[in-house]
Amino acid sequence: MEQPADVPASTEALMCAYQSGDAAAATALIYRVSPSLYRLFVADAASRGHADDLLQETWLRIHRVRRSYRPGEPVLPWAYAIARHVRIDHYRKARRSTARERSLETMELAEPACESQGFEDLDALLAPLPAAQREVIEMLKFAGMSLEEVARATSCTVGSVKQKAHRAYRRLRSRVLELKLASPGGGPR
Amino acid sequence: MSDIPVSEPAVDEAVSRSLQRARGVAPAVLAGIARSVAGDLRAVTPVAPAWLLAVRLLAACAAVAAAGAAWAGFDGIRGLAPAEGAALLATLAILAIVMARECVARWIPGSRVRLGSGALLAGSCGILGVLFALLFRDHHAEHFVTTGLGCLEQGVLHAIPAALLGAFILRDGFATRPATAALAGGALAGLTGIAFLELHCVNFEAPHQLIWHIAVMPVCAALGALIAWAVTRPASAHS
Repeated sequence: MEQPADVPASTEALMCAYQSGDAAAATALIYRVSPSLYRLFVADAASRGHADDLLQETWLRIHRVRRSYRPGEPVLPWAYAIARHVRIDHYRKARRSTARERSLETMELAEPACESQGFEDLDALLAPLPAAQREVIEMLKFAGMSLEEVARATSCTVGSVKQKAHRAYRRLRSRVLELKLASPGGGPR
Repeated sequence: MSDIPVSEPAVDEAVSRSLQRARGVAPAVLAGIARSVAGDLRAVTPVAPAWLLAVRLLAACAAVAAAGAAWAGFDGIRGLAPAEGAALLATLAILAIVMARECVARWIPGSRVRLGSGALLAGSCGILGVLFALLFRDHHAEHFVTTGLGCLEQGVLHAIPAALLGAFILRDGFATRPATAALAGGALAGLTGIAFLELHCVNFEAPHQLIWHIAVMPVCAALGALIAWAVTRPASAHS
């Protein structure tokens, strides 16, 4: 499957064409939406090592439930909501398999999902954030979504997303300061 | 916040600097996904508009409550003054409209959610509590537990067909948060059970109405969330 030439149609139009069975539109949509979905998986240490698999699983699920997209609605929050669901499933499975492996004790623990892959800075920065705040920051900052889109993707109210983002920023500011102070020659600027 | 000498752009800069290391998605992965999607591509009909799904849900819930009362008798609503009955039915209808909209939003990914599931449940119980406290002034409580458990059972039994019909109406949807979606669905089904009880039950004692009738909604919501949890748990464990 070749990478499609630059398709000028909007993401929403591509999605509608995909629902109508247009293979070219489906391919164009995959190439357009996948990079930001991928960033979402890569941003989190727990899903980073499986980002390729999670992206494929997300598209399988998107394909299965593509009826649930309503024409006229934004595509990204819809796709993110499904990607988020895939990621949560992945966490649960990873947690269970780790627990099982621990209980057996005879088997070696599988490679932990938290591969750093050069993301030490990012992991150190986001370390103090609880999962819900971290998720909001990932969507706002890494995927470039708006508050409204994050609210739609996470099935929350906009007010709730604002509150989480506000709290996350407060912690992040403290964290940035800590990291600056800790770095050689660092200090608040 | 102002006591931390780090600005918001500094945080953004730190985040984007960290992200610069992120590699992009491999072209081979995208090509593989595109191939597998194209190999199983056929036209599908998009899910109905949200308002239509909400209307269908409302109709199903109203039909269940009315059918139950038609079979058991409309004694409860007949025992109230016309203005009281109108206030009761109007409140139930408004709550049902709000809950049906929110329920649909939770079954269609990426929908706008206006109220959290917990807030929806607590708010609905609170509104019904205030209404019942205003309408029912008899503060006696005879056979409180025995009559109450009977009403709770009847309410939950009427919520079951409403929940099943709701699941059928929303079968083309996809709940990305199954437990909260089922909680909202259970709450709407519970409201159907309450509507049946208000149409049928002739026990106008305030404690009975406030405790046992209202309890139908949280019980059904909790059952819904529990069932969703139980159903989704093994699926993710075995796959």
